[in-house]
Amino acid sequence: MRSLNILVVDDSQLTTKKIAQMLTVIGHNMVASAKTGEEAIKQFAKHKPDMVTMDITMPDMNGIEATKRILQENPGALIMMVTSHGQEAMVLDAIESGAKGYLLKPLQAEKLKANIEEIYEKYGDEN
Amino acid sequence: MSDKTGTGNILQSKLAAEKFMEAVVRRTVLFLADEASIIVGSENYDLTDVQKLELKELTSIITVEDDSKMTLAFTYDRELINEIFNKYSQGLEIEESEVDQYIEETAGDMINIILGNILAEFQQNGRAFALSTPVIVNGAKSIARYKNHEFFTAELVTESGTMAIFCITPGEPLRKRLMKK
Repeated sequence: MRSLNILVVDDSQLTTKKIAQMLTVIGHNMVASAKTGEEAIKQFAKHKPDMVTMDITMPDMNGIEATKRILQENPGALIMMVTSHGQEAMVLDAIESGAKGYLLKPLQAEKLKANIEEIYEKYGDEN
Repeated sequence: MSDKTGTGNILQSKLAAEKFMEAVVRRTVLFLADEASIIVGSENYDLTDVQKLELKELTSIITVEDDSKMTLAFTYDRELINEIFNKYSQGLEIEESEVDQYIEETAGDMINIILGNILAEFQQNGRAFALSTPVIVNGAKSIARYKNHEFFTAELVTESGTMAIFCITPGEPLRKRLMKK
């Protein structure tokens, strides 16, 4: 699989750094990052990344709302929720919003790699 | 979020609160071992009649957005949160000027991950409980109990210092008081 350019959305800069490091280790690249939902929408428009990792709990707009907003303008966007929320209803909310995958924190590089590959193999050709 | 979110009461009884605290402690012990290689030597619970909370040097606070407005607080000895940060951020390039901010983010990430994971065990009728973003309080403070509030506490002792976990209902007034000080 080719190296993907990924937008990382998380209000914790430390988590963003950790995800960026893991992406490098597994052969991908953080093309940009965003700390809020609004910033994520702007960064997506600017960079048109291959994929987005999206936190749910953020100060201005939660990740599920930001996912919906990005998909309104970019129906083919590949967005994976990366969150601490393990609640089934929250997972369903995310999937209904159009997210293509759901990864639970704390993060592990192998799981991140497997999720990215699964999403890209399943939906990547549609873009 | 959708109508699946934000109603109900996660702590419907004192028994539920005790089970919740046990789950929080269990997850915290696992997090410390898995993410920071820190072993908890002993756990001390006080689930009955705590009159005053003693906050340590750094405290992270989160509120569950359900009807109970429960607040959960993790409060750390400085040495312990520094050690958690050092292990949690291992391998990352961090400027000296960023360290204080990232120590606070470590505390915020930790409570968010632990509580977010646990809520899956306590969800009711297919509804999810949303969480506030974490609030960080620097400096030791003492908080007396409000009338009708209940404090449930647990203390975890490690070789790098001690942390305490507080579960408080209702939560919002306590958080507001802390932010005023």
